[in-house]
Amino acid sequence: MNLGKYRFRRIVRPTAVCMASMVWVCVMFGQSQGHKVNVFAYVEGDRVVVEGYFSGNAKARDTLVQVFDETGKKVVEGKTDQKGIYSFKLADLPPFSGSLKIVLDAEMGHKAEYTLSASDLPDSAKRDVPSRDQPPIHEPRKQESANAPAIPVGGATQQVDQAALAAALGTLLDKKLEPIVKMLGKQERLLLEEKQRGPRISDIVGGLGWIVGLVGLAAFLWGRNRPSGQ
Amino acid sequence: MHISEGVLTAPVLGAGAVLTIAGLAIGLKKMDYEKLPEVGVMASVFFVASLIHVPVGPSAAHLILNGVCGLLLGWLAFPAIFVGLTLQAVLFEFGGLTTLGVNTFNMAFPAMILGYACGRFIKSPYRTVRVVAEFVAGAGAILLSGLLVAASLVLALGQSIDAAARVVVMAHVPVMAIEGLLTIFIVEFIRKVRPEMLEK
Repeated sequence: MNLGKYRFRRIVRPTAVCMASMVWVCVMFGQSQGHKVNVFAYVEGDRVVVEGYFSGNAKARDTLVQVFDETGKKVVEGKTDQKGIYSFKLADLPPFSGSLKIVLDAEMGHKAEYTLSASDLPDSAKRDVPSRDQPPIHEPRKQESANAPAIPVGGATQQVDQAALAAALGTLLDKKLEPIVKMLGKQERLLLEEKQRGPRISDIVGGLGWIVGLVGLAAFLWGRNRPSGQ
Repeated sequence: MHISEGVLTAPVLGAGAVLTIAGLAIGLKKMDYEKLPEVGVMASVFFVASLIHVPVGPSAAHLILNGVCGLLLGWLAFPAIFVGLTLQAVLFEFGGLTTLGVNTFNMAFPAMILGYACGRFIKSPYRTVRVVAEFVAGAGAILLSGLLVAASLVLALGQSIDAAARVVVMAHVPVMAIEGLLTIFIVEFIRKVRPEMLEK
């Protein structure tokens, strides 16, 4: 199509406008995907640690975090720090029931949720259990202390030793397990990212390559049957 | 618009597969050696289109561009969209392999129908008629695809899914507008650069 002096107006400019608008469309809409916010949480000792981040590893700083229990009651809220982390002590929470739903609200409609199920939370967390569950826990203790006076002093110290031992083991285990819990937290985050990441460039190029290959193959097979000169 | 694995029941999947095989047969019969590159290009356009997301409320819908495929290819949209969907399912895990039949029919049939319905108006000498026809082809293809997806869901999962099916159509209203506009741009651009492509 040799249009000479009209070449710019009729071909180059419309092509440029078309390309630019398609690129603009891609970038604009790609942005909203690229800034998807994610959140995950894990239990570390007696605290729950919440990490918020945008896809592409940017931390979600100074972002609102709200924690709800299974019934929808808000149990605690706060903001992430400069590292994108917000943590709270389980002991500080009001009595709650079941799992904890952690919601990160990064404005402009970017919200992410993460649920710590009841099995993820340690038993020592305050629970809003119905009163009839409580007596069985207390009764054996009452019985033991009732038995204690009958047994001479050795039995009482044995009890105290056991309690102290359990407490010491608890803190020691928490400390030892801390690095493992952190590692698991990282793994969890990587898995979540992997799941949410969109198609990679290699996949797109691969797909286009397949199409070119199929067209080429079809042209080769079809072309053989055609009379020459066409 | 892509239905994933494990959502539909076997009868619906089977019906979709049969309809798609029929469409593919007709499409391949009408396939012309000269048209092969064009079919390949449209398959690529379709393949890449779903990477462009349109934010709708809390989530996002994606472009499909089946209207343009229908306008330029007619029945050949079936093989083009079928190849595009297969590659999307295999490479991006987008859609599904068991749902290939249903998805292909849901997207290629509206493309073909609207391509033929609006095709003759594309050649009109009046600019307004051409632009309106192109918009209708683009937006209408999305609308019809949405309705077919809703119908597939209702057929498979019963009346209870009716509300969710309606949501599918409503969620794609912004996509309809954008695709209508894109169809106009694309077809007018082709008309300027290679008008012979529009002679089907």
